[in-house]
Amino acid sequence: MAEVIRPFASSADTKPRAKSSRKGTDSQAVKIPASGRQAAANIKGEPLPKTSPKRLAHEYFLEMESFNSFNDRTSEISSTPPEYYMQEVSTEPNNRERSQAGERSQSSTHGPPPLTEYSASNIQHIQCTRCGQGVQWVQCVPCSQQTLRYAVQPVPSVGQPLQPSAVPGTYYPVGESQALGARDTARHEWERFFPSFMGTYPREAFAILQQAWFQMSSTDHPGRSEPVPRHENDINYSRARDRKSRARENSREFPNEVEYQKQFQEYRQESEERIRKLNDVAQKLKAENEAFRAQIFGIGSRRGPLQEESYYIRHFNSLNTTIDQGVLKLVRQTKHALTEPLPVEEILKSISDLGDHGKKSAKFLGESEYSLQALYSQGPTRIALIGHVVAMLLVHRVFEPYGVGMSEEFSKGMRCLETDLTINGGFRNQDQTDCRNSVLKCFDDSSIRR
Amino acid sequence: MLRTLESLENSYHDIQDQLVTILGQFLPAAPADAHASFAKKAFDQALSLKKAMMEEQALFRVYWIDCDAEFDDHLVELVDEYTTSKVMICTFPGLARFDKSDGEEAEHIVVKASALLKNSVKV
Repeated sequence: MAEVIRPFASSADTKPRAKSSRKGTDSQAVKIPASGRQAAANIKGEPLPKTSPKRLAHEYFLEMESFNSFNDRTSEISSTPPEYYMQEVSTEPNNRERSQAGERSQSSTHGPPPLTEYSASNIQHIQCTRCGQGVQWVQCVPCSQQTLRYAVQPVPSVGQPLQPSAVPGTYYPVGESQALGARDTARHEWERFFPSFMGTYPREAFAILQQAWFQMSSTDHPGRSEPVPRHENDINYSRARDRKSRARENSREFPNEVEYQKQFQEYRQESEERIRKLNDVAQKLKAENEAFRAQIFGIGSRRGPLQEESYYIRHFNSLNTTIDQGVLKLVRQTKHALTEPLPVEEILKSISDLGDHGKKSAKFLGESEYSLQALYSQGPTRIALIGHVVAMLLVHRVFEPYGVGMSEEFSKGMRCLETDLTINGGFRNQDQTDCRNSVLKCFDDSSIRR
Repeated sequence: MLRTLESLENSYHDIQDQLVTILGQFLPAAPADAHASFAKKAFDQALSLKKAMMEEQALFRVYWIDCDAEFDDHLVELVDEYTTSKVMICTFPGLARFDKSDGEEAEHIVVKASALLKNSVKV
């Protein structure tokens, strides 16, 4: 059983040939029953009679094929039997008129014109998917009549001499042979089985059956199932599945991931701010520590004073200047009231409270001719008097005590101890031992503070 | 320690109040703010100097010249030119530094005290 494919579908009966020529390049496969080809191959030049059963079967088959694959925009079905095209071709050069006349009369001994006279677009190579052998169809340019020139292996190029032997087989266009072969396996099966049913079923039932057969065959593997993993991949598969399940559980635990991200950013900023403050504190502590170290080293090494003597002289004179200028300023502010009487007794009492120096000063100012009132009545001495009292208060309350705010007795004892330790390096005389006892007594009596 | 700091603060205020009281007795017409401002300024400056002297290894001592004391040129810096009488009033104390020299305590006058003598004032 073998079929031949017509690449140039033409219809000399129903369609104009010009239209067929224009669309002839679209190769449409039209199958020819093997019985007809066998007859063509056997009798060679003796076409089948039009009333023979084989001829009728062939025409019937062509109609069915056109019913299935007909596309009126690109193809036309020709009812011309293959024996008509497979008649022996003459090798001598011939013109188109002779060729057309010979084709139309089906009895002409003159073959179609040589291939050299056909343009490349009018020559279509067709190859058998089963045996690989090819045929070549040519199409007449004026009349668009198609002619099977040969079916041999290999396909000769244009211009080579004709090989009139036709080889039985299934032929497809060369360019589409692979695609057709890949998708139409069912069609091959059907076509192989078709002749036995051809004469037993009605035409419509046959068409429906054929269409159903193709439709079912074109179903894309309905029973496809997922491949089972290999044994060596079972462990990896289980691990991947565990990871996926854990990720799913984590996503369930933290549904509001954006909120957590915000909180994380806030905590991070707070932490950075805290770290920055702690770094500042650490830097300050480090600087203080260095200062303490330097001070301890200076004290421990006893290499010299902390400040130069000029420092104390400058500050001491500055204090003197501050007192003088302050008193002068206050006196100037009260110049209009200087004639008012002074509370002498109160002033003398206040002066007498300023320690031993205050008592002596109060006595001198109250009893001598340089009385408080006399000194206060004159401008220069008034300023000196007020400065005298202010300076004496600072000496009594700030400079004379061992520490500011200490009681007189405790301060005296601490001063004795300091002197003894500095000068003698210890308690060596009885007086300073008494000083120590007085200090200890002050601790016992809680009379340290003034 | 906190009790010590608190007592120190109280002592500071006590000293300044005492100074303001005396200034108010001498100059009652002056505003109280002026008294307090001056008292605070003088006290702070004196306290700073006191702390510096306490931290120093050398022993600094502030000495005072009593009224009607003999004039000692080594201790007293005269405000005027008269030098033949006793001290009337000391206007500002002097500063002395004590050192150990050959096992003996040596005194060095750093700043002489300021004083007015009796004959510099005509009463």
